[in-house]
Amino acid sequence: MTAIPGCNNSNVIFLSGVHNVMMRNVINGNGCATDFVANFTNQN
Amino acid sequence: MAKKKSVSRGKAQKVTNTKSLAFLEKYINNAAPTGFEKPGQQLWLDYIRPYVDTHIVDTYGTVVGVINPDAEYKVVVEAHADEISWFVHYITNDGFIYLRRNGGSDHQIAPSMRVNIHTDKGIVKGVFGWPAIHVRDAAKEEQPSMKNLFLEVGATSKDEVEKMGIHIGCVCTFEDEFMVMNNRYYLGRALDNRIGGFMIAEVARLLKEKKDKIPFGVYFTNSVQEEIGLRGAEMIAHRIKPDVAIVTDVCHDTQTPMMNKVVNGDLACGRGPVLSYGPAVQNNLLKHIIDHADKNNIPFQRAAVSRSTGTDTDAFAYSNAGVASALISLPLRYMHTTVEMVHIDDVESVIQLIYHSLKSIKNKQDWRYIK
Repeated sequence: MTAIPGCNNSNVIFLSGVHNVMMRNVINGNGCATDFVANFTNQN
Repeated sequence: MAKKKSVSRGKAQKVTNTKSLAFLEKYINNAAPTGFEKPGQQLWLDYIRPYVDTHIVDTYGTVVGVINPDAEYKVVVEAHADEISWFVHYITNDGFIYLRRNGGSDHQIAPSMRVNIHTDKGIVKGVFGWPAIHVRDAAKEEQPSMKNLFLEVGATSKDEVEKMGIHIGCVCTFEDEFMVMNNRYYLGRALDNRIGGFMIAEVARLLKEKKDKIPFGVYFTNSVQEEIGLRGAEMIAHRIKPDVAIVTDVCHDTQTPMMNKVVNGDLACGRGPVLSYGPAVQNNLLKHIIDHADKNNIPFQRAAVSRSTGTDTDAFAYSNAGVASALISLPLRYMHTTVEMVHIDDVESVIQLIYHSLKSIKNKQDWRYIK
């Protein structure tokens, strides 16, 4: 089970600011935006 | 007044055997970091090959065992093959190694763990170092984070580290082994979701051994790259173009200390597979699975998810023109740690539930809500 936010409800709580913009991309697109995943992976 | 029919849900029947459990142990003890799943995929393919007609391997390493490859109607039974890990990111001049995550690796559990660093020269042993309790400031305890976690490999310089075969981009996994706890639980690193690969392979074995005649194509799919955002499933969904997808992954047991049932629901290891309700789950397929759980006396639990399941179910459901998809989850304790635990009875039940749900699907079954 992925822990990547946007792919997993439990981590959406950590979203804020720029993440929310990326989250909209996730919701509007297919699956998860690459930038969003990279951001989470590298900064958290 | 009609007498209410009571549904009794029994204990799981054992379908695994000595040979399959030997495969499980070998499969779990092999590392399969996201993006580097090849050795694990080879093990999985070698195990499932006798039970399928042919197989597909895609460019990024997803492996699919196929029954009836020429059939027009296609049903995917899917799990993911990859595990969370770490990337070597920066080597200091005095030989310490800083990392990046490869998937949702847990910084909280890392200090003092032993790791395997996977290099072209083979495994190099390392440890997550951490300052001793004696020297830390109790008033300002620093939490482990990607900014302070580091590896030590016993080297004194960057040059020595590199001579050991370690370079930027090497992947690292925690060192540990599969075990059975109290004859009740399977325990190990990254049962999420190699246990899923094991379970779908067991379904393939059952179909073969019971000589079941399936009128449609069955695609046992062990996807790569789930842990970084369902990527392998996205790729293979477009390639297979299935009509149905039954996905299995793990979900959180919420019975242990510090878990919150209000937030995460009331789910328990030992109470059976968890069936999810949510937008990505096709309700007629879900009802089909529930009906066959009841019919075959297989215990199950229910979970609700909003927006996404956090599993490859989402990738299949929203692929192509929409694929009827459902999720059969295996409750698991301590996800993304080295001591993930699943109940043996639940493993048996998931295999049985997928098996009965799969073989009862009709050829060209139409799952639409309105016809």
